Amino acid sequence: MSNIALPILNSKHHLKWYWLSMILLLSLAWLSLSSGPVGWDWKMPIAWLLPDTMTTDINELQMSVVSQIRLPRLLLAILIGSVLACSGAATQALCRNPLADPSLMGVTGGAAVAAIAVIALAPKVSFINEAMVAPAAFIGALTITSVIYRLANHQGQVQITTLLLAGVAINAIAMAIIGLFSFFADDSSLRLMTYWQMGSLGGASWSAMTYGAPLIVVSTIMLILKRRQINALMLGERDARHLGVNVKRLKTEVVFLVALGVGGAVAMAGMIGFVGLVVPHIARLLVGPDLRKMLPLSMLLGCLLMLLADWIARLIVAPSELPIGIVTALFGAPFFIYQLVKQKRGSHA
Amino acid sequence: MLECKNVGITRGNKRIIHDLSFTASQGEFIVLLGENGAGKSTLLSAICDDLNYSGEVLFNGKSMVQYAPQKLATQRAMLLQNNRVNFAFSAAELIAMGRYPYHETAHAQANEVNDIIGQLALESLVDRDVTVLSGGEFQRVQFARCIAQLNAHQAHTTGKLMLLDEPTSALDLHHQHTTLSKAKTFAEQGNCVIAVLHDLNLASLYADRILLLHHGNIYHDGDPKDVLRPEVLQPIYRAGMQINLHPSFQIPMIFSEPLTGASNA
Repeated sequence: MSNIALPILNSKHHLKWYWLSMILLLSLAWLSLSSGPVGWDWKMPIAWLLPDTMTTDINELQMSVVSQIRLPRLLLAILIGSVLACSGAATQALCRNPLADPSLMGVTGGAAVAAIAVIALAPKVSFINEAMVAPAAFIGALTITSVIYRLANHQGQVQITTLLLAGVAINAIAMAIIGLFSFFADDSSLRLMTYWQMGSLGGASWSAMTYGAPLIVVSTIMLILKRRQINALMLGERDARHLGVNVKRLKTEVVFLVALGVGGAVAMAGMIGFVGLVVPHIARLLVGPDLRKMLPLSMLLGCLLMLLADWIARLIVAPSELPIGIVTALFGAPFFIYQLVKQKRGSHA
Repeated sequence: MLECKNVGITRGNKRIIHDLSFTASQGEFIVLLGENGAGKSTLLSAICDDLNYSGEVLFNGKSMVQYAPQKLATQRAMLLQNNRVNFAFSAAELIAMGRYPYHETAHAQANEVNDIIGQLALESLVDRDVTVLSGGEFQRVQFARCIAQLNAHQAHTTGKLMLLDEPTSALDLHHQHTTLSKAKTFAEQGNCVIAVLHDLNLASLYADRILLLHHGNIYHDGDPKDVLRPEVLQPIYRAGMQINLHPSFQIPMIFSEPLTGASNA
């Protein structure tokens, strides 16, 4: 008998999607570094990378725009895109449902409330400062993830209806608290809060990166290292346990790592929804649900999506800028409704 | 090989299993029978440490909790009932998940999976998305995953425990026999299989020993000829039945009868 399992199990067809995403990502990164409100010049990234080879009209100001504004922003988009996609994929495996997403579950909202509380209190309370935004966002995300998961988990099965309804309730509470803070906030804090609520990569700077980036990097690397165990979790808790996975510990770790990643992302870029829902779904369509193949592609596609959304957000109303959360919600929400209808049809089939 | 000592299970306020004890040996194919709610699946869950219980479950002389999870996973596998997967793995990928406890190369894994596919005649399903398989097809793929997990496709495998919770509930006649034959062969190699079944005739055909459960107790324990008698079964199943011998195998075959108005009451 020929080995019919071999071509399915060891298929390399995912590699072509990696390459394609990588090429697109590099092109978009180039575009992102080359364009912005101060002007568009495709030579700018080369001038920055190899300053000696260029004898063009690229001036000092343009160079510093690339190195101090566009480059941190590019890296931030890459960090946020990969961590949101990774957290989304891990959350869906944890809940055994492709509709689970940290932003819909209220995790992002919880992180934002904590971050906004720090921003609002920082001018008034002496021991609270900007460095606490990221840890606060993490604690907010962790609290909400734990609460939601406990609420929706019934005898090892996660009830997606409870999960989403609890998410709606928590998001409503989060919005109310943010509204309350906004009501009492001064003008400068108010601007920051609006920025948190709708998400933006506009705050990207090398110094801001030092607060949230470590959380994101740790979360992403750890989730990737655990991909084989999380794969087993997709079969269900009991099956995973029977396969030798320490399910209780793994669940705690996933909840913690998702909170860490989402907390870091919210601390640096505010509430950006739907990336964790849309991107893993597309990755699954292209290479299947096996996280060993799907997670790297999800991260690449997450970066791609964030770069594209940020590029649109920067240029569509230039010289002003649209919050990126609006762009991701505009294509993510219809996608979510489509998924909901599809799942409903599936359950009636 | 497997020893359950005074196993008791309570859920909420209800006592599901009452201080139940039995021993299972290598080479035995044991079938758990009993009415709905008798505690059959709950007992299997206790043997798998899926729920809290009082008493002791020993596997090869050691408590299940003393084993390292990954090591235990190569020694004990369980097929759950009604457990669908929401993600579109291919059947081959799902079977390969059974190899999770083993550290082997991708090529070696594919060879093992291929052997199982051949032995269980799953060729037509290998590249199908498991979320769209029929209930029976999915049950066959999940059974194949258990086979992969225990190396049960290899003739020299011994000393392992396979727990099957209604493995044939969605299968047609042909696949009921292929599945149970495979499990029986596995038991005969020197392993142990404990299966929950509802079909008394399949139990008669395949079981070496039947544990008839009733209200969380062992009501009767014996070989099929001993257990499958009207005076034993009727009080449990509360159904009319006649029992004849199978013309070829000389084992009991049960012919149940519709309930009359009086016996329905």
